[in-house]
Amino acid sequence: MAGILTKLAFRNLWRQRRRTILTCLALAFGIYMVIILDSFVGGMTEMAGRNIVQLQTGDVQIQAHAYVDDPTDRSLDHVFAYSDFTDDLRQLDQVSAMTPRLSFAAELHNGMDDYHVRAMGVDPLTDPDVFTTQQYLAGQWLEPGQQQVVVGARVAQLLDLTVSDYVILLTRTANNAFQALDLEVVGILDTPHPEVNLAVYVPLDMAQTSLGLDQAITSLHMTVSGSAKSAYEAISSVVEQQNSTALGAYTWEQAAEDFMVMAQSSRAIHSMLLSMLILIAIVGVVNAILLGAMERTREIGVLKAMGMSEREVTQEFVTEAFGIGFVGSAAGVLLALLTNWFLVEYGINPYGDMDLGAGIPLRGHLYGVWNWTIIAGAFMVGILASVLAGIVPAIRAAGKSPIWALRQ
Amino acid sequence: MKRLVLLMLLLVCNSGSAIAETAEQIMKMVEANVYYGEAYMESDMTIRSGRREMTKTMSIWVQGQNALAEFTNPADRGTKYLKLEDEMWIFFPDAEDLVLISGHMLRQGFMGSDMSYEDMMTTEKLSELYDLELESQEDLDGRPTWVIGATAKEGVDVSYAIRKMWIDQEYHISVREELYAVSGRLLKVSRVEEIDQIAGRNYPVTVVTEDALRRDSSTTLRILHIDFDIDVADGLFSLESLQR
Repeated sequence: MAGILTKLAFRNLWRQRRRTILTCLALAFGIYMVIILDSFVGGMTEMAGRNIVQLQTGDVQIQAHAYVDDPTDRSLDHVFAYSDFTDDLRQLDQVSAMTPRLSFAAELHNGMDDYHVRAMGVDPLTDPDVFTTQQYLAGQWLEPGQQQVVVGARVAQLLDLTVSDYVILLTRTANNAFQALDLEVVGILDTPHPEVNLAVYVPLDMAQTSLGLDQAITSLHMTVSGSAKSAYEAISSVVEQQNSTALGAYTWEQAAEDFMVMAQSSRAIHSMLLSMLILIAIVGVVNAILLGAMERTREIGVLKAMGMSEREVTQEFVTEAFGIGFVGSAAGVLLALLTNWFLVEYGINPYGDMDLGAGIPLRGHLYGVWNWTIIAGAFMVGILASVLAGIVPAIRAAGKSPIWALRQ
Repeated sequence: MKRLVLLMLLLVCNSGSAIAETAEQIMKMVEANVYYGEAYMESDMTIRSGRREMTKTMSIWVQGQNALAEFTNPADRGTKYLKLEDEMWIFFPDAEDLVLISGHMLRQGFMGSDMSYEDMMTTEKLSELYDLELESQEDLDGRPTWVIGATAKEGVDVSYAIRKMWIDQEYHISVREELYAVSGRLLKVSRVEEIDQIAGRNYPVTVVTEDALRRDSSTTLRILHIDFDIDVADGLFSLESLQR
């Protein structure tokens, strides 16, 4: 009997092929969007996270709470001597590399124009152990103690700078007096992190001397191995041992709290959109089954008069819903797999060289990711939602009396 | 012969009197001219940047550490700046909003000029902030001047670590001033183009300031009218009066 019902269901779907195809297409589109949007959002989040870790924070950083609470604070009011921590941190197995940085506000002058930048004193020797900044460098990296600067690509573009140009970096010392440094541009950084492209990098020791800061830094960045949680706890305990209430250890997620909040909001919007798409697909299935049942009222009467039970009629309609769900979901998944392969392999560059704005640490090519849980989940949900959407109209259709149905 | 020797001795003593002044004494004479208790002035400020030029007019009331400036040119009419000791507030009439300028904002140019808010806010006497040294005497535009070097005193927070001033020996006014960064790089140059005698004191009424780091950029501040020792209305230097 099951075989006959299945045959009957698929014949009925084929009889109304235009409606079936449209319903399947609506469902396929919903499934396709679920997978592609998830891949896109997942890819963006992964890339942004990687950019933050590799170019901005490292896995864990030690910094004053004041700077984390107010990321726009560029004052030198909360600097610390990193030599207090280095011995203890080196003894931790989890810390595989560390490097100090000194962040300060400055104006970069080219003689004609000037631009407000975040300047970063970096240790030219240890910075590459934690950050991948040099991978995006055109020209040379910094040398300790030299009057040199590596300029972010956006700053270089705004001030029309090229390698070998000379600039003046105007800033304030720890005593608030103006300090003007004549620096040679030795390299230009074009990274996928817009904030880095708006910054300038100078040798840490030169910056410390010029700003009147003896060995002081604003942050100590670390790459950790093994469990990030245990590394974070170990580093936190080192900070606590120093009894420094102003300082704290921060994971990259904590340090980039604004981005994490934004990523969560984007996930929430993403989920809402997906729910809407699935709802549209379900409405399509309900519509197809209801119309099918209405058009075939007399046929249902004949089937029931020939001895088919209500359960079997219901089964026949549910099988039709299953058929729509299966074909629609399979088509959606298939199409999504093809598109996602392209996204993962080649990516897309919807904004060209423009930054995404709104503080999103991404630019250039955006890539997708393979999320097999979502792909399998979307396929299953597509079928299940179709079957569930078909049950009520199927029961309604099957509940009609054969005499009434035949009179229609 | 005796009379000739006496005459020569007098001449030497006379010409040496200028050199005999110490930098502190010279600065005290300058400060006696340019510092005042209360004042009301009307002035205009012409800001040039490349080919662009704009002029703003304002009325200013000063009392000790406090000052109130109200812009009167059409584009900025009603915009007010209030300096209350170490704080600077701005009132924008269109937004009816009060803004406290602090942190890095204080380093920005005052209304787009070559003078920063900090420059405008400094009211302490230079002799209190800097160690002064009489470096030489020079003729500047045909007039004799004392050249005084000023280095920030230990532990004192000042914007410019080094200053160099050319003091007119007759008017006791700093007719040229160079402001330097800690590194010794020249940052700003200001020169007095006109001095007027007002209420028994010499006062610079036209001052041109140039940003040495920017090409073709200057700000000319002209004092059109000034009254010293005025009676300041009660509550003039308050946030309430700023919003009135």
